[in-house]
Amino acid sequence: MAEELKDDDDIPFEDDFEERADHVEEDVIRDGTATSDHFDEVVRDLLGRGLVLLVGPRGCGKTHLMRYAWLQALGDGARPFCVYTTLNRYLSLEPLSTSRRDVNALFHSWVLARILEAAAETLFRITGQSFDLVTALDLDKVDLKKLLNTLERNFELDEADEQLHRALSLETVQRILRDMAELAGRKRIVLLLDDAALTLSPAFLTEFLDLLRVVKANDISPKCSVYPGTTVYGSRFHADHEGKFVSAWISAYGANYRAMMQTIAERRYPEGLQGISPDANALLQYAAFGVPRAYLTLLRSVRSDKAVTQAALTRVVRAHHDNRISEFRSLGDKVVELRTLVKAGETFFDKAVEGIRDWNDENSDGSTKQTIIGINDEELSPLSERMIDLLTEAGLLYPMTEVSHGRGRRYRRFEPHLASLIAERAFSGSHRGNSASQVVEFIERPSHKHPLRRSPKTILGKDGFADLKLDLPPCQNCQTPRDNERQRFCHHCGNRLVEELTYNRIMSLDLASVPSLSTFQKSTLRGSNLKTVGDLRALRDPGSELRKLPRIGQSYSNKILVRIEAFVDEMIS
Amino acid sequence: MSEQAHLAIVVLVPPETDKERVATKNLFRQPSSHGSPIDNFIAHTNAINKLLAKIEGEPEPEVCSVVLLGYLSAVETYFRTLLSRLAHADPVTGNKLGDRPITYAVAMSRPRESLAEALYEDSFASAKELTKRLTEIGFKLPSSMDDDLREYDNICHLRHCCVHRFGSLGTKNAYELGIDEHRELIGHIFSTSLADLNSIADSLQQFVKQCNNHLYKFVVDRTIDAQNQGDTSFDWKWTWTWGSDKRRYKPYYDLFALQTTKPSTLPLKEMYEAFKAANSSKVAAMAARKAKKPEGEEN
Repeated sequence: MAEELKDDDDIPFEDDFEERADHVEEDVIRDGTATSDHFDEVVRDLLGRGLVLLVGPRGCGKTHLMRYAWLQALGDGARPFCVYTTLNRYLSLEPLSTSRRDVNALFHSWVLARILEAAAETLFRITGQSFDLVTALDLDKVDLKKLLNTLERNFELDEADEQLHRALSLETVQRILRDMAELAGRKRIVLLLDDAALTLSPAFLTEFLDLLRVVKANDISPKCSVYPGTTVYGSRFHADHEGKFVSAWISAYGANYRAMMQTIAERRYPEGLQGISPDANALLQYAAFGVPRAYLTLLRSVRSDKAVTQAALTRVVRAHHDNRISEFRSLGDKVVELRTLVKAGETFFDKAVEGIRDWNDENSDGSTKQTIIGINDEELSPLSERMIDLLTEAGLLYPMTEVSHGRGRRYRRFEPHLASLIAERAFSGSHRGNSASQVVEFIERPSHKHPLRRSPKTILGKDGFADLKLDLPPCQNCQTPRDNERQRFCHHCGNRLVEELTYNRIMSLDLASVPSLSTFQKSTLRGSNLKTVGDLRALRDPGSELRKLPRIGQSYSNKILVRIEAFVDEMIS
Repeated sequence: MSEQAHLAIVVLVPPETDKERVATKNLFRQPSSHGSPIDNFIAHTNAINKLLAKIEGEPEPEVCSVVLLGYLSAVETYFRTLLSRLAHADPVTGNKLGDRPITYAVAMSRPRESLAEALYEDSFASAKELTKRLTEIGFKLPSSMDDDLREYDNICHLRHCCVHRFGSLGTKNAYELGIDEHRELIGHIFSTSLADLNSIADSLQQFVKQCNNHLYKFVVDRTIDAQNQGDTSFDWKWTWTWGSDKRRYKPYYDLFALQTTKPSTLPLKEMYEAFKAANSSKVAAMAARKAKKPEGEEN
């Protein structure tokens, strides 16, 4: 055990602490939630009437908000009949498309089955009774769990599954939900659908948005959590008209920001605050940039060092920046079409950070700070908007409201991630120190009255945004690049141009690309015959298999598995 | 007026001396490939796809017809070769076709190994005919393919217009396609956008690929049940060891595997393992019976 933990970029694992809200116990959510005005407002929206799209990057608290709202509604008879389910496994249905052509219909049933399963749980929690689905669906047998399992694991549907699949219509599910709500003595129904961004499968998303439009009724209000960037609503769903966008992401420069973060740490991870100076703590709160999960991780990382030194702080913040960047790059691995946009986005982001650092360097003796980059609205094209949305999705850019600077000159304003600004010494000045207190003092200065204006040309070179494009995968058979987007068959060999399955691509990722694995873990895995994420996932008993490797014991093998699972969950959600 | 002049009033036919007659015997060559039926199907349709990919703008109606005919010809060829080769490779299929007659001419002129080809001289170009041919060997397309089969039937009606009426929609086909939506279109010419033509091509390719997969599964799974029946058509049994099953499994694999284009079928051994794993409960039951048997014989 002692030997296993020698590796110095490894963080001790604490069993009683979990950063992801979907793994957190209910009483922790109920009692360990830091509320604020913004938080209360979002919960009100989630339990109120109408369709709500809860927007925010990974880790900003969407799941937490939803589960909190669900728990509130369970215990309060005046609240609606509230159903919480997550759609994060949607991508595991994708391979079904190789064996069946009605995969969209299967997806439709999958969503309905998930809603029904969760609704049955809510009913049980409120009334202690189970609902008679067999009668309601007019079948001999109803096994939702089995159908869900069959679909998620790509088994072949047996006759019972097929019958259930056919019986699951939207009208039937609406009727059942109303019956359940009545039994529970509730007047309205709220559907909390978590991880509904369905980023990686445009076909499922279209199907889902159609379903959403139809399921919505006076007494049924769906609420979905989505990402700001990659969720594409398509032509049939007019997001602004169908519902309301609510941001779950709070600004790190807001008035109550630090107090709220502080409360979260006090309730969820009090030992993390021990032995950390107020300045160091403030620095980490800013570096988390509005994302509670990130703050808890930073606290944990910094505690793994013997003392909270300046060097440790710098290292931890830089590592956080590096992880954000690699998460952003991973968007390009997931969706090949986005590779060019992701590459350009990284340059764009780096230049923005550099520009802000230079401004602050020059004005370090003044009394204001610069943290905002502004781009003339007219210079943005759909592709560059998409690029910026991707940066927002990864949490690298915080979008602010549009501001007019005179007629015809509207500026879009963005705040780059504070961890990156801190890591690039944007608040240290050329002749100033880099101590936590100095950095925090600079961040808390009032903002300069104008944003740092940048044109696409100054950022991406003389062609500006003109070189941006969507990439298409080449022909799988002969590797000839495609001619155009609408092409169905390869013009060289005639083979059908298949959309490469995103799921398969993620499964074929190199294990060495899992960012949270330590160098020791990576090099050990390299010596084994496990090369890809899929190799490991294919093992029946991966734990024992890993323990056959040199110097891997039970605890290390668990750690590796937990990290890879977490990585895959992140990738596909 | 001479009779000649009277004829020429209609359409002038230029006189030809020493006219060379079309000699059908000179018009065929050896096919370039001897892969599996699905390999050939993909090669045939990909050749048409290459033509499709080169069309600029919207296609002429004649091109639409030719593409459609070519595609359906490839589909028919697929089923014809697959089923006739299956009759020789798979004892159960061979047995089921036992009461189908063939002509004396065929029996005299063809070697034994290709007699079954003569069973499939008829058309496959309608859902009804296709289903009938498949039912004969005991196979029924799964209900999840109902919509696909309906679409195949619709495309076959389009083909009928192209073969017999130069693309113009006839009343009978209009009825089959749904008279309410097609009444106004009777007498119109089959002419599609490039996107629609692509969709037809795509749909047929997907249809055949799916049929290939379902047929494979049905046929190999059936071997296990058939071997365990009293009046089995098999003179051998799966042993579930790779060494001895390999040569038994290979003919099935060769009949259904796609090897010339990517993504291709998994290698022989992996497919065999998957076949074995998918039938693990039956494999276990067979092993149990086998373990019991010697005891029984002693008694």
